[in-house]
Amino acid sequence: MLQLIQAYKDYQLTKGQVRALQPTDLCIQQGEIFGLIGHSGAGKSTLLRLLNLLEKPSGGQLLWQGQEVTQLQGSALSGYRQQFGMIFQHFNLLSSQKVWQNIALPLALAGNLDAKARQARVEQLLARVGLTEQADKYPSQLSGGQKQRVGIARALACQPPVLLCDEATSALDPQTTSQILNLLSELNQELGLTIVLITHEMDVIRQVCDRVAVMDQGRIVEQGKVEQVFLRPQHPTSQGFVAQALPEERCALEQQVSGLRIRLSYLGEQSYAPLLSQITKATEVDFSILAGRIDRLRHQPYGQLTLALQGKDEHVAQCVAQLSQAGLEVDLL
Amino acid sequence: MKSLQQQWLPNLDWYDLAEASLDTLLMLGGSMFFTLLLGLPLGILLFLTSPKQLLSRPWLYGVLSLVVNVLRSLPFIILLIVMIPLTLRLTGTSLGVAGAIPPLVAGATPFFARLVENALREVDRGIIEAMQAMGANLRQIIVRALLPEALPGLIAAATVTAITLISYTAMAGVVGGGGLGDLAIRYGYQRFQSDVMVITVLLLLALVQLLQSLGDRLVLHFSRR
Repeated sequence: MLQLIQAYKDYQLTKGQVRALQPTDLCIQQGEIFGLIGHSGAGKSTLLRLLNLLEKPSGGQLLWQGQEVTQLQGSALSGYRQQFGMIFQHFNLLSSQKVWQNIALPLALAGNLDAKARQARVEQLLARVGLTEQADKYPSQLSGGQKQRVGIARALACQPPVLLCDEATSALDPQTTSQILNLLSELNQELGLTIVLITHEMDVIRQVCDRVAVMDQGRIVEQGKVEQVFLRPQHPTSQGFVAQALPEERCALEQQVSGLRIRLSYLGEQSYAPLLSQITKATEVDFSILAGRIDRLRHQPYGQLTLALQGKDEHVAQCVAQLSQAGLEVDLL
Repeated sequence: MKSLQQQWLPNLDWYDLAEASLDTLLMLGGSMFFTLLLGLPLGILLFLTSPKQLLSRPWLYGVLSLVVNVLRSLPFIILLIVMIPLTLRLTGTSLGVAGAIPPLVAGATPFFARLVENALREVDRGIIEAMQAMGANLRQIIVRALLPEALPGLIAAATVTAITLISYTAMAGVVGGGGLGDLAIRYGYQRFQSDVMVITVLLLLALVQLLQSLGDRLVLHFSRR
């Protein structure tokens, strides 16, 4: 649906040029939730803005439905941008306008609905994000989560096929973050909305994304399905982000525990099978759990346990081999 | 028995005072109208062409900025005299209220434009970005986002400008512009008629006070942050 081919971005500073984004290839599929994760300054914000041409690439191509769009100007550019809704970390609502006026704004800009149809659409959007009661308030009278809901309603007003989220939950508390992420996930399913989001929190990726790209110093260093990147991160930056979601492990590894320490990862239906207990029983190995987590990656359950295995050496080796054979991911630590 | 007026305000001519007040209001109203008309677009242009803004044009901004600075650094009394030939062309007279308005506008417009530029700078950049992301064109960004968001700042700027204009009108007497300031100088200062001085100053004070509290109220009314 959206494809970047060797696109890069340079910024002109007084002291010469800075390359914010190295030549990058990226493909966004229709209907997916794609996550971009990176530390600040990694270039994810620039990459996101290339997609709706808020930033023009300094070189390379951007294809929308197979059409090159980087050269669009004037009203063609405005039309292209209206294919994208965008929400922001700091919401960027007009403080001088009431909630319903903010939501009606993109409709007024596009100018393709009469006043009555516009009002009906606004009411529909307000109901969808659960803000019917707040229609006549000003943004300053709302909580952060409510403001982001207004932002989402505004972004979706013109029924764009793609929603871009610029750190949409970074200014929100964890509970509100979950609510907003659930809303995004629902909208993705209900409307077939394609979502591209950027974040620096692996938990956001874990909760909603189908695919993820990890960015570091202006390039994508790793990308793939979330479960793949989450359970088997290859690049050090990805490993850092994954460790952020499993903070107890490092602590546990610093303890002096005897036995072989392994990390066991399992996904989907495996999570519910009593594999660990069956195999340890059969091989006469004892285990202690040092750290662990059982959670969901968007649609499927997964688990990750850090264990110390104790027993005779050959038994332990046998146990590890059987765990691998059963399809679990085993990492020796 | 001397009337109260003869006792306290022996030199005051109510007719003169009324005429001077009317002149001040006419000069203020007329010059304020043209100052807003010219200063608002100039301020918007200054803002848009300044570095890192939507129409960033460093050389154009440099030229506009220089013109604004030159006009602002000229003392108003000099501007009044220097502009006489131009004023003649514009209004057919360099005297009276009509003769005072062009220099008043020339003096206040750059001042107001600078304040407008500053008020627009206060608008969150993220809002401009959000408007661009919605596919808004430049006109829509200005009309639908920049001006409404900056409205309280713009009203405050207009208030300050109006008050500056009041003090400028005091100098309009030089070209026979009349007004309260002129009355104060000719009678109160040059003829030592302190009662005239006190009354005119009090009237000017009341006018300034009125404008400022009106401006403050409007700013408060339109502030939504």
